Amino acid sequence: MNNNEFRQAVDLIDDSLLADISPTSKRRASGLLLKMIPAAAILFFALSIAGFATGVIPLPPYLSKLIGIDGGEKYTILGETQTANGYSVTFEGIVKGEDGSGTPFRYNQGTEEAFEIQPEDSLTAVFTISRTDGKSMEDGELADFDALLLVDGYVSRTFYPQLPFGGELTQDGTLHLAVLINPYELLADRGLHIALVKRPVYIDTVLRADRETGEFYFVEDYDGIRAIFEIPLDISYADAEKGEKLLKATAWALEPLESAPEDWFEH
Amino acid sequence: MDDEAILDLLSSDQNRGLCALNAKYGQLCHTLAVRILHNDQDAEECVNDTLLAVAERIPPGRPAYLQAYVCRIVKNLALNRLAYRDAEKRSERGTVPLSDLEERLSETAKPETGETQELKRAINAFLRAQSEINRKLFIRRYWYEEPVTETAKAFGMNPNQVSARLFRTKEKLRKYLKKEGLIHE
Repeated sequence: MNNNEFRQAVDLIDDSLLADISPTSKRRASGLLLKMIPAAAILFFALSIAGFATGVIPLPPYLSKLIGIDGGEKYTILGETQTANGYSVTFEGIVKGEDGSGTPFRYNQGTEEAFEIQPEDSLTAVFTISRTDGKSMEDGELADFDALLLVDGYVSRTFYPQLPFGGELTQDGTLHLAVLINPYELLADRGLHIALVKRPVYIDTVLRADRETGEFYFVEDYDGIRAIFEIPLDISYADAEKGEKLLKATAWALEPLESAPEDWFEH
Repeated sequence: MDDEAILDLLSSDQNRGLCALNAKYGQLCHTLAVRILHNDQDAEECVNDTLLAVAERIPPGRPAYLQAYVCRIVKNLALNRLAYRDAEKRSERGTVPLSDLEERLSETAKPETGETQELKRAINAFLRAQSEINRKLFIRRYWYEEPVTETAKAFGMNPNQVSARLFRTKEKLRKYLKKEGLIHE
C-alpha cells in the first residue's frame, strides 16, 4: 500500500467514526473575529477577507457607547449563553484595543513589594443579561451583581478577586455589561474563568471547587444569578514573572488546589 | 451548546449560529488547519472560509455529525490551500504552470466510483472491527493529523506505545485491503 492509497482510504472514514473522536485542540493565537453576517453572502465574503485578515473590525454601535470608545478595536464574538435561576447570561465577546489612558496598574504601594504593570492593550469582556420571565432588567440592577475572577488550579474559602465593571447599558429590557479584564491577560496561560454572581458574595454558600479536578460549580441551594464562563485569552500575552506577582497581590485569598485544606471541600 | 441547538440557530439566526459554531469547533478547526498548513494566518483564513461554507450550506443541509462535517470542510480547504501554495512555489521555479492547479484541485471533488465505494466500505468495516483504543488512535493520528506525542498524552501512554499500535494497525489494514483485492503489491 503506497502513501496515496493509504491517504485515499483514510479520507473515506465515515463521519460517524470521526464524530466519536475528541482530538486535542490548541487555543488559537487570536480568536476568530466575526462580523455580523450581511444578507448577501458575497458581501460577507468580501468583509471577511478585509476584516479577518487584519483582525480589526468596527465595534457595533451599542458597544462603542457601552465602553465609551469610538471603535476600531478588535472584537471577538463568543455568544455563549447560560440560563439559571431566572436569568439568561450571554458572554457576548471580548473587546481588545489600545489603552487610551496610559495609566499603569500599581500594586502594594508603599511596600517593598510595590510594582506596576503597564498593559499594552485594554481588554473588556461584554455580557448581556436578561430575565427569563420576560420582565425587563432595570437601570441600577447591576448593583446586585458581582463578576469574580477564577484562576484554574486555585481555590478560596473566603472570596475571589472582583473584576471592575467598565460600563452598563439597559436596552429593550436587556442589561449590557462591560467587565474590565486587564491586566489579567498576564495569567492567560493558567486558564481563567469569570463568574457572575449575586452580591454580597459569601463564597462558601455560592461557589465551590471540586477537590480532584478543581472544576468550579455553584452550590445547589444558591438562588441568585449564576454563570461561569471560560475567558478565552491569547496565551502569547502571558508573563510568568509578572503573572505570579499579580496573583500574589490581587488574589491573596487563593490557595493552590493541592495545598488547600480538606475542610474547604466539605459540604 | 449541543450540535442540534447550533444547527437550529444556524437556521433561525445565522449570526448567533456562527458564533456558537465557532465557540464549539473553531479551535478544533484551527488546530487541524495548522497541522496541515503549518501557518497560523493561513489556518485562520481556512477556518473563516469553513464557517462561510457552513453558513451557505445550512440550511437546507442538516448534517448528522456536525463535528465531522465541519472538520471535513476545513481539512479539504487546508489541503487545497497547501496544494495551491506548493504549486505557486513550483510555478515560481517554472516547474508547473499555475493554470493547471484548478484542474488538479477539481479532481478532489469528483463523484465516488464503484471502486471508491468499495474502499470506503472496507476501511470502515476494518476500523469498526478494531478495539476502541486502536480505532481512536488510528483516526486521531491519520485523519485528524494529531502528533503522536499529543495522542500519547491524551491516552496516558508512552509515545513509543502509540507508535507501535499505529504501526500494527496500519499493517493489519494493508493485509486486509490486499485480501479484499483493493490494493495490489
